[in-house]
Amino acid sequence: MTASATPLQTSRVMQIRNGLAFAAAIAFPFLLQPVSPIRNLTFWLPLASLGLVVLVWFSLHGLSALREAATRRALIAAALVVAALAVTRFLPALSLLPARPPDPLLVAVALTLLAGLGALAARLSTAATRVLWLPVALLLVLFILLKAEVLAALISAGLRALGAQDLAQASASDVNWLGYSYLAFRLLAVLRDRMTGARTLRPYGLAEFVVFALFTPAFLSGPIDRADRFLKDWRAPWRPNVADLGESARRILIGLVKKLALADTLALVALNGDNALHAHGLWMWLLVYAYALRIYFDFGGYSDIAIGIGRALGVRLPENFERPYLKPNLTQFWNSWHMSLSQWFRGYWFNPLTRALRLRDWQPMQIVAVGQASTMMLIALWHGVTANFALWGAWHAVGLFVHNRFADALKARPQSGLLDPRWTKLRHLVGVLITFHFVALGWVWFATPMPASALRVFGALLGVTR
Amino acid sequence: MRPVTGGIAIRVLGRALVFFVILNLAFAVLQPLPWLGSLSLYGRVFPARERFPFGDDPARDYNLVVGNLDALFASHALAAPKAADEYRIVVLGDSSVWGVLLAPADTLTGKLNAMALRAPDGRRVRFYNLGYPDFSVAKDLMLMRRALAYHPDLIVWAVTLHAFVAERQPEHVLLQDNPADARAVAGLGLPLALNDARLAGPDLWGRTLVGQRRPIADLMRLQVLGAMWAATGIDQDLSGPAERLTIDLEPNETLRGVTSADLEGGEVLWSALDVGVKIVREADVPLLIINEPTATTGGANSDLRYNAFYPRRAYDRYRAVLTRRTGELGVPLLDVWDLSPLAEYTNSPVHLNPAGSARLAAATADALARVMAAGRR
Repeated sequence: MTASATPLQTSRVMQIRNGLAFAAAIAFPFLLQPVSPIRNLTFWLPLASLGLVVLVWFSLHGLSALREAATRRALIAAALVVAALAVTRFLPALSLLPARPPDPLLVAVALTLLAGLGALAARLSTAATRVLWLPVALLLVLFILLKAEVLAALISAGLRALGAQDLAQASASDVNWLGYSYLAFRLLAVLRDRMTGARTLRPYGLAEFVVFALFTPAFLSGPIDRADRFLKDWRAPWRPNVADLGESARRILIGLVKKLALADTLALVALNGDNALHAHGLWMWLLVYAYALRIYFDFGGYSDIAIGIGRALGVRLPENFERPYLKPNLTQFWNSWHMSLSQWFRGYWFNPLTRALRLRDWQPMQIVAVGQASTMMLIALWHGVTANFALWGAWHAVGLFVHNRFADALKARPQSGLLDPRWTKLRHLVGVLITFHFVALGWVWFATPMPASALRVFGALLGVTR
Repeated sequence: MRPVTGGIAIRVLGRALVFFVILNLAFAVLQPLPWLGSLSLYGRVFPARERFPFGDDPARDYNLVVGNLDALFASHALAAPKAADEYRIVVLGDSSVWGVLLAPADTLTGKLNAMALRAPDGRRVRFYNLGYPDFSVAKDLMLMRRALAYHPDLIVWAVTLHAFVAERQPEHVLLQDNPADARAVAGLGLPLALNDARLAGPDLWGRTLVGQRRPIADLMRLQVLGAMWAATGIDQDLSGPAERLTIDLEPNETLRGVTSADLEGGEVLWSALDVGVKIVREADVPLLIINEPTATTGGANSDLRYNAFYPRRAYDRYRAVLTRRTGELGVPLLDVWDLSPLAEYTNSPVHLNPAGSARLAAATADALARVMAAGRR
């Protein structure tokens, strides 16, 4: 397979956009990476993000891609952006980086190492897709290491030992790899699509692949786009126009209001680990409602801003939320809440798993139960490997299963009076209220750090504890 | 739907700009912040606050600093109608009265209310905490003037030397955010540095909606935080480790550059006492002044200083002048500067713990009984 991007006619304006988006995709993670007390890790983590993108790209395209001038240009440009960031070590007044970069010599060594890894991946790349398990495994192992606090603390200790730093200070928060989750989702999807042949993948140019994987507006918290869909937009003829810019401005404005005015204000009264121990009586309900709305406006606001910026750049990022709290049942809620994530898990976990279970002649009810439970647990543990996240996942798994059974039972029954169209609105309203409260109460597990504090909240909500 | 063209976009943006400018100018002219501040959910949806809103970290304190005096009073329990059998006493002062590191029930007013005192005429005495950090007699006088609208039967004013230092008056957020009130107090005879840029109030840009966005946002946050006050009864984070009281002292005898020799010069605003007396006498409300307790810490250089705040000579002279001046004005003074042992102070030479607060409340109650009895006669 060749790596030629086969773009349509690329206008001057598009070339400028592509160049800026490429540079921003590389630089942005360096600028926003939270400072780590581990020496130079603030620089190495974003560099590792870039390294993973290049590694996956070479795994897909092979060494022959290096023969193409566009690939070489992209590699050189990427190295130059990284080098430019690294030399700000000597220009602290000009640096926008959160921490002083490492010695450029070290950066050069790191870039060489990454180039070597890329070459190795490219060399291993063959027509057989088996070898793609290697980058898949690498991404999954990193996921587990970063999400499990104990393991992340061990990594911190290991890195501190390498740098002769105080081991007693080792903490999981030292290894806060900004944007890794969403990057990994995108890369895993590309790899799995190639492995399964589920989608006819076009060859990607390295530069556009970097833009896709590290797309600045969606880098921090999505939405999670698919490469083919993203690149279709990216390659389409583009020039800024009033309609797109207007729509873009509208979405960004809505996003800013949601995030800064609504979510940040609700944060003052939203349930958290501290106030879960302080609040009493019926007021606890207010904190739970505030949390439910806050998390929606916060994440929804981010998504609006990302979608708005994407639109201005000619990319229609997938929607992430579609009035989730107005859905009449839990299944519909999960089809409208963090949609790009739930679609990802549906496509790359739930569907393959249920297909495999069907082939093994499992009963439909068992398939549904196992499929939903495992999907919800994975989504839950993606937020962090803690008891409370697991309980949140279990809460929704049970809810989804019960709704599934209930919906099936309802379908099997003959039309009763309650299914009369006159009752439709009332049924819908009751469904919305029940679903919202089920979800809002589920957030109690999510918002509190320990099962004990969550139980205290439930006690207060029910009037059992003060 | 009509396609959006460049012309339409420019017209829409132009109209939006005109509307934006008119809205901002109207806001600057009308200055509705005091009115907005007086709109409050406290006492209606949420319980009224026991003390003024104040807090550096809203996420932990469930509280914040709001400079709008109307909003402060509207959120306070004092804003509730006075009951027929209520003898209303407001207590003014600094952070020690407000109650840093104390729950509302452990503050001076909390302890006094717990005593369930009765006035000589049998009315139930109810104390209201109008203390506010930091030290400033000008701030106290502003609050005193405002408090009269709430029909107090008696005013208690806790003071300490720091509050009289002229230089620190313009630093106070309540003076900076309420320049009209500051000017009113100055008009009664308090020599405030009104030409200080910090007391000038906002310029035209600062009076617009955009310029006032922070105070407006703070007003909204204050209302939202009412839910946390209602839900928790907490208005200050008491969970963290408190800063420790400084025991070993610097070898100098000045207080922000003021020495004992300066105490009757312009560096110390003794005229605040005259203004305070003028305010309460015009309203025919008795006044009790308390010279609040301050720690004697010992440690290095304790021969020169009582504590990190006060040099011995300057403080002794302050007490002498305070006694003389209040005597001349005919105002009762409760000088309890050495009431509490060192163990009853928390993180500052004027912040008491609950035991110290109770001790001060007992002394205050005794003094009040005398003042109330004298007032009845």
